[in-house]
Amino acid sequence: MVANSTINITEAYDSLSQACFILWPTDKKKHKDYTKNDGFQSLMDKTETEDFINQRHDKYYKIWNNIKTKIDKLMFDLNLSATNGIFNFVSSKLNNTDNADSINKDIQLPFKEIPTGLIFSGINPDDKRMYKQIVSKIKTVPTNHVAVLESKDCINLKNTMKIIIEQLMETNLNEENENIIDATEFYKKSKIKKSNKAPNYDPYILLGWYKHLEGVSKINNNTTSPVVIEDETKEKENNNNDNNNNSTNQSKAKHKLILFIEDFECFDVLLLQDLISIFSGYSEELPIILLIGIATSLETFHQSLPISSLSLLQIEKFKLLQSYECINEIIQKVFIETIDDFKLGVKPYQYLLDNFNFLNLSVDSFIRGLKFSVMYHFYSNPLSILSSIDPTSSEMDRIFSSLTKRHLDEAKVLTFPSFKFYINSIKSTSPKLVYELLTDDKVLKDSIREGLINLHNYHIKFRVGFECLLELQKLYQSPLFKKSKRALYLLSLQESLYDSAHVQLLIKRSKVITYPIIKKFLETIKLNIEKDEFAKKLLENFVTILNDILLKFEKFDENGNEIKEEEKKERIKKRGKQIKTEEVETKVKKEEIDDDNSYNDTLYKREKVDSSKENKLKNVEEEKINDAIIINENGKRPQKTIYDNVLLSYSNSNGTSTTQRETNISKRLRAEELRGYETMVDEVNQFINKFFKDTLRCYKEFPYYEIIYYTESSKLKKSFSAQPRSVIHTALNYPNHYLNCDCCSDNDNIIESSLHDTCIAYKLYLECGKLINLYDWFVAFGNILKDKIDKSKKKEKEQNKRIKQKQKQEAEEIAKSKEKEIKKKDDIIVLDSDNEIENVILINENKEKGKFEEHHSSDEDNEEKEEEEEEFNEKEIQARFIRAISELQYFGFIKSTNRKVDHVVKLTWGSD
Amino acid sequence: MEIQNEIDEQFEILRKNYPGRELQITRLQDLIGDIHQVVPPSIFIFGDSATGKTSIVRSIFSKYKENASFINCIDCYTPRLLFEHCLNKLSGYIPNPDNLYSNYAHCETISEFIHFLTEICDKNKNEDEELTGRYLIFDNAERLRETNPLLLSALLRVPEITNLNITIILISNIVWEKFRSQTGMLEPILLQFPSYSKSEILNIMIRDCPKDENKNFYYIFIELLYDVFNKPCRNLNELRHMAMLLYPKYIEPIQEGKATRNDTVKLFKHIEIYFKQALDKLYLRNISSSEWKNKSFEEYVEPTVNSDIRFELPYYTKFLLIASYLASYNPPRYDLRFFSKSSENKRRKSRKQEDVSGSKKSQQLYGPKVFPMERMLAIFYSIIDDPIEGTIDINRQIASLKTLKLLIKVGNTDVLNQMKCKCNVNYEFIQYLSKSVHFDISRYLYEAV
Amino acid sequence: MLQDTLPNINKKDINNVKRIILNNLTGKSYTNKLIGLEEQYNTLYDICKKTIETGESNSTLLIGNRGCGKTMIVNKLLDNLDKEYNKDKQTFLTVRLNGLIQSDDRLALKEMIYQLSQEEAMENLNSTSFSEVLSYLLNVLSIGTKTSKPVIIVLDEFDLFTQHNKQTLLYNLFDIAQSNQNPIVVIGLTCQLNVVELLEKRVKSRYSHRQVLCFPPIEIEDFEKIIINSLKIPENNSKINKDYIKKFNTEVDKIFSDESIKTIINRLFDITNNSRNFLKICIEPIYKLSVNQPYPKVNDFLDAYTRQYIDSKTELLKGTSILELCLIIAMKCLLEKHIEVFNFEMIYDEYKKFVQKIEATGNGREIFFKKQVAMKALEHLIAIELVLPTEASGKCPKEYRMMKVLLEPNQITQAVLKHNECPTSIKQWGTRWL
Repeated sequence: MVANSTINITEAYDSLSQACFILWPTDKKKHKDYTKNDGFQSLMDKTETEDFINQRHDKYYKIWNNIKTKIDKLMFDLNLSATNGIFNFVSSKLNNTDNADSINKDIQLPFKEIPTGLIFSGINPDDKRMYKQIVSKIKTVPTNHVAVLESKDCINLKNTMKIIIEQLMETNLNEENENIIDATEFYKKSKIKKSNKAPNYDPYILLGWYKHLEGVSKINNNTTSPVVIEDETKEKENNNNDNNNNSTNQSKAKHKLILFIEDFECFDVLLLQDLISIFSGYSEELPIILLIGIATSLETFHQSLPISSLSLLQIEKFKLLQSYECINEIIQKVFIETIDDFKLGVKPYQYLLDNFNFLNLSVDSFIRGLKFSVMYHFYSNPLSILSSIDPTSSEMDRIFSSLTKRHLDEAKVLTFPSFKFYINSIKSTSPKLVYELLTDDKVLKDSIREGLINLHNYHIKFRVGFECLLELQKLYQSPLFKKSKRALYLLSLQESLYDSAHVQLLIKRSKVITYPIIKKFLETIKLNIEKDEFAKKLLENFVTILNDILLKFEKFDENGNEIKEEEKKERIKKRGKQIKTEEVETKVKKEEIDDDNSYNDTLYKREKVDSSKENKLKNVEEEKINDAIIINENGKRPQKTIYDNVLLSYSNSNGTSTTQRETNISKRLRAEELRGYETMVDEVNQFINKFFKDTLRCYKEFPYYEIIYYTESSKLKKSFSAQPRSVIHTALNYPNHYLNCDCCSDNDNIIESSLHDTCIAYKLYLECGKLINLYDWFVAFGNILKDKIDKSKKKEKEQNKRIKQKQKQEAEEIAKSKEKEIKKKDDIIVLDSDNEIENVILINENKEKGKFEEHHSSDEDNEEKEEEEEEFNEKEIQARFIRAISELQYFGFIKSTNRKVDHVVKLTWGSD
Repeated sequence: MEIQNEIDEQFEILRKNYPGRELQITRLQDLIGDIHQVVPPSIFIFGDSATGKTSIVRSIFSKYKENASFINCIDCYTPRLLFEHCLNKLSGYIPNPDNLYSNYAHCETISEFIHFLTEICDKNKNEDEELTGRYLIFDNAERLRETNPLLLSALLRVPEITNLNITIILISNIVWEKFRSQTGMLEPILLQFPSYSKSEILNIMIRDCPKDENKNFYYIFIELLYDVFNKPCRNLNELRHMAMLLYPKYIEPIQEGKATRNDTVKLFKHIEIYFKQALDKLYLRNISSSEWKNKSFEEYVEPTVNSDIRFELPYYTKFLLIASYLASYNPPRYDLRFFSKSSENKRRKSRKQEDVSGSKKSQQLYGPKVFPMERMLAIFYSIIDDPIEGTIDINRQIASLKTLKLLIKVGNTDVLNQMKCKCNVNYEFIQYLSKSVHFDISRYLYEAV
Repeated sequence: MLQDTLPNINKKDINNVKRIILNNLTGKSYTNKLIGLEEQYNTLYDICKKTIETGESNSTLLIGNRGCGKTMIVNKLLDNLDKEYNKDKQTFLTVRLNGLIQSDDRLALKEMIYQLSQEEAMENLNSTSFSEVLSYLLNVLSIGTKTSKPVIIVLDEFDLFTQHNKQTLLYNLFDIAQSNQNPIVVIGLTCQLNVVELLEKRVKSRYSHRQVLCFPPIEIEDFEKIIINSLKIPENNSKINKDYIKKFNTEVDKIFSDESIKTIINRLFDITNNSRNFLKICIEPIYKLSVNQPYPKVNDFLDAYTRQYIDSKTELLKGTSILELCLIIAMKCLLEKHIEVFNFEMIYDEYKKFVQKIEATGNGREIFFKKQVAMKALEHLIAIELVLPTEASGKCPKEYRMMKVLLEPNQITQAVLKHNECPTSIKQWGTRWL
């Protein structure tokens, strides 16, 4: 009896634990639907037609692909210089035949130094791309043999060497069978028979191979005359790199072995030491060049390697482009320079940027985020079909004509914020139009079309404006007036860039720039505008203004000077010479400012506060301000003093204090002198103001921008900055949040049997301490399930009640018996940790079972049927329990321990 | 016999080329100079680094043809490599494409090794039964101890067991006492290469004098150099290294016609600054020989300190690192005082008792302490101003700090909330970091450094 | 003057002399007679004799300190037995295994196969169990007839064999020996007196508890005798000029009558009575022999002695730079503060304190160096293992890596005193508190 029952259980256990069941969706067609268009689904309550779905889907791919290509190209170009630098380094080294270091031909160093290139990649986790680029570049030369080492497959010297050899020789040495030949073989084999193939980690292989290689190449082309190499190296060092030159001399140059250590930090230091000393030992025979990728700093390099091995390296440093620059360029390329393309709204952009600045300086993750938003834009927005094409194009007409009524209704809702704004703005002026917009689809259609066109033009203008803004920034030295592209763009999304304090500041300051510079600036603006004809068309009025300003400049320049010359001669002789030059003005302004100090302080304080706040988030350089030149017509334009004060305050904070004060008279005099110039300056200034005001607007001002801009950030947050801990916890603790079923409540105190098994196990788990006795767990679990099962057969015969009691008793039985179990678990065989847990259960279970039987047999009347019931329940519970805990194990909540055989260790935070 | 002659010549040459090593060379000649003599079972050559051990022995045995195998124990990092390389050398066997990169034999154990050894010796035993010595030289012998403790004593037994005319020569820069293992270590004959005296060093360095240069003039230079550098380091190679790189600078004024060879004072003045730099940078390899050469005078003068240590980190990551530094260097019991937002004034006080009494060592000297992750995070959240929730990104950053070895995980527990770490960055770097984020680290440190 | 009394010493003679003596010194030859080990030899001899003649198996252990001549006995024994019985290499076979070389039983067995030159015989073996292979091997030896060839098995470094997994080899050998399947003698050589305890129960039970103990010379005379003996040339040597031999031997006697040599011998004898220690000294002087210096000199022995028995650590320290010396002294200071384990920062701290102290005298500057430089110096000290790190590298910034110094304070003071170029101020610092 006992025996076979246990057997049954084992069988049951086996089948249940080993099989796993996947339930395919029954309806085949449905199933197909999901995968179609990568799950792009019909929107607008499924009224959207296949055609539109496809449109969105295809658009998504089109857009994303060209963004992707843009970025890839960009990255490539950005790293080009660094790559070439490294390439030249490699090709310049060891070119002369015999001695190790070509530069030190004049003097022999006692150390055999290995030429080593340290590549500082910055800590961005996406430097792989650049490395690939470098390697491929190096490999363009046939005589360069590269071995790329990654920490993850260089566990010990042995297989590191193996990898090196294999990669350099571009063969893989077949793994000679290290496995132990069985005893008889062992004794029979006479030693000579053994294959005397060199172990595949034997540096001698490399040696032999290289000798052979050189021999061959010697035959092919007789060796280079050192002279040739001489000037070659020269050229190289002058970083001139035209490939054909390289390739030509490379064909003559000797073979080189390049070891590329990708992630220095992760390598075992001792291993590297040995590697270095080994190869420096071979440096006569093997021309080795090391390239080491370092994420951190030279300091770390020195930290980790002892100087004994450092002295074997002849280091040169290379800096890869840091991710900040990359991101700037990407933003420029993807967002600013594109006209009819996907755009990010402020929220998602900010999110991505913050992630980049604060959490990971990773360009890749930025790109990932971007991709996601593109995808989601087209996935969720039925109107996205209107985005990213030239609204004036015929293509657009087609789409527009195809638009359904539903689309337009959707449009009203979807573009609600901007639409409403728009309505409000016009309802006073033209209520009729408003009415039509809301009622007549035709009108709406047109207005949408118009809106899109406006956006289109806005983008064109914005591009120009932005470039000019950058130009303007370039004019100033002080870091205070410089903001990175990414920061500027953020501003431009938040508000009209023109209104931003920063830009206002810049414009203000433009007043005090000397003629020639400002003139050049204006010219560049002109150039920028005329660069593409659209912009030219849109901004021609500015062009005209510009032109006559420039004209004026010509004239004014001359006579303006005349005047000043004379006045200077008459009035103030000592400082005359410099009058026109900036410094003078500088002083003047500063002094004037000094007067205002007293009443500016209050303002200054306020300014300071928020400026510092923003500074903290922006990069920090901006903090240190050096204002040699703080200027503006402070006294004469009281209404504009705010910004002056900002400057002033900065200047004060740096404690730039001017020495000499001036009398009111002289001040007035200079004022006169300057007036002529001023009118000019004003004109320019007005122009600049107008120009930027017109170009640097914010996308929010335009109706229907939602069609083009992706403004949703929550989805991004959800999918990119997950909070696994809390999520898993809620999932397991309050499954109804996800299943939204009403069977169980959020009540923490009671564990309902209606919960999913894993949840029950988890809830119990939360109650346990560090070590969990599996059997207790099992019992508790069982109890919970049991009353569920019982509930199910509530309305059966009273006999069942008896069973229930029995089960209760058994439960106690179990509970009691447990202790004994613990004491005498000598018979528990420890198996490997995986199925250990189950085993323990099983064993305990079997004993348990034994008890049952006795117990039962002692019981008189109720027979077979019940027992089957019993067994069935027991089996089922056990199976479900095992599944539950193995799931938890899989999640990493528990782990079997050797300390106590029938216990598991709790791996996560306590109950939280 | 002709080998013998070559060998004798070689010894003569060496005596000339290695001033200050005549004695050692002669003794070596006595012991192993005669290839047809009974060889001593084992010799242990020791002495400080850069005392000519390796180079002398190497060049001696370069003449012994296939009777000697010179093995560097660093690149024979497994016994198998050791044995097979030995055999290759003795049998003049070289793996190459033609023999499919095979060694003389497949040999993993010392017993196999002995068989092959005898095999080789018997094979090319010269007919007239006249015995010839075989020499196994192991450079960096200290490495032999690592692989397995018996290997060394086994090797030393080889002559006795095989009863061949073999000698084992060990070269190492550590003393023999450190080799003695428990079982059956035969005592080798000790042969010390003592460190060079000043005069010897100068005699050697003078040999680097450029041909076109007046010996005395050069001598003045190297003597000066020696006097400057011998205090921190007497390693001959280092000194030569310096001399090589500094000499061009030394004679610069002469080439530019600013000075003549005679006005030494002027030259000294000129070279002084370079010496200073050399000690700071060159000697420590902060700038490599090649970089050193392509540098202008200004660059030598300007102090390029911090450029070495700085690199960009994400904003929060910086704080994570700072937090872990604080966690590593502050005693936990002070956390409340430092990081509870309330007690501003207390902080002030705590900084008073920085200075520790001379007798007990300051905690700073003991380096970073281990801290549990939770504590570090707590500090992190308290020192960072804007509230952020613990997203996966934070964990990811911690992980990447670990991969960058800026944090070091201590012990290997899987229990997530029990992970313990150490901060692996020095104060200088932390200072730079905290400056970059406007965080006044000194206010939070228990002991100001 | 010697030269002309004996004009006819040629290089050949010298070489022969060298060869003979060196063979003695390095224990390569076993011609010269044993001293104080006669009866040990005899007992072993009898055992083997029995086996060879009557084919009765046996097992014994030969126990004695290092260098007391165990191997010598065995060599001599086998040599003689060969001479007696093995003219044709047929009567008996010998197997010599060494615990250092045959590091596990498989290897050992394989080695046996090899030495018994039975490899081809093994080709048609189809069993894997150790014992079967072994017995198979031994049975192969029996040529047709019932009586199989006796085998003498010598296990050098016997104690190492006891460490092998389950002591399989020993078990089987002893088992065979006991159950007398094949006539074998197992002779184990070891210097561990308690070696029998190392045997497992089952192994011990099968081992005939026969032990032969050999003792190093107790009397200094014997000690001396051994040495002189191995330095002399047997008169009967035909190859070499007779008078030369005579002269040479007398010279040797003369040397050992010299007082200074006697004192050395005494000293060494007090340290350990292992004669090798002195023979080691003799080697160099013998190598020095040449045509124009045909006889060993006392002085050679003397400075050979000094060379072989210097305190090499202090020697090493002599060569260190001032900075390194300073660091070592700093460590000494830490030791005196009862800080046994310390890191660079602490050492540097001490060093700095010292420098500041002597700043007043003005000569502080030129011996003070910045941290990195000192660090490099320390790394050198670690490289030559005067300082030993106690924790693995890369576990923390290397300034904080804990380490301890492997020198006695007085060793350090010695070094400081011996060190030339060492400024007085540092000398004082280093020798303080003595």
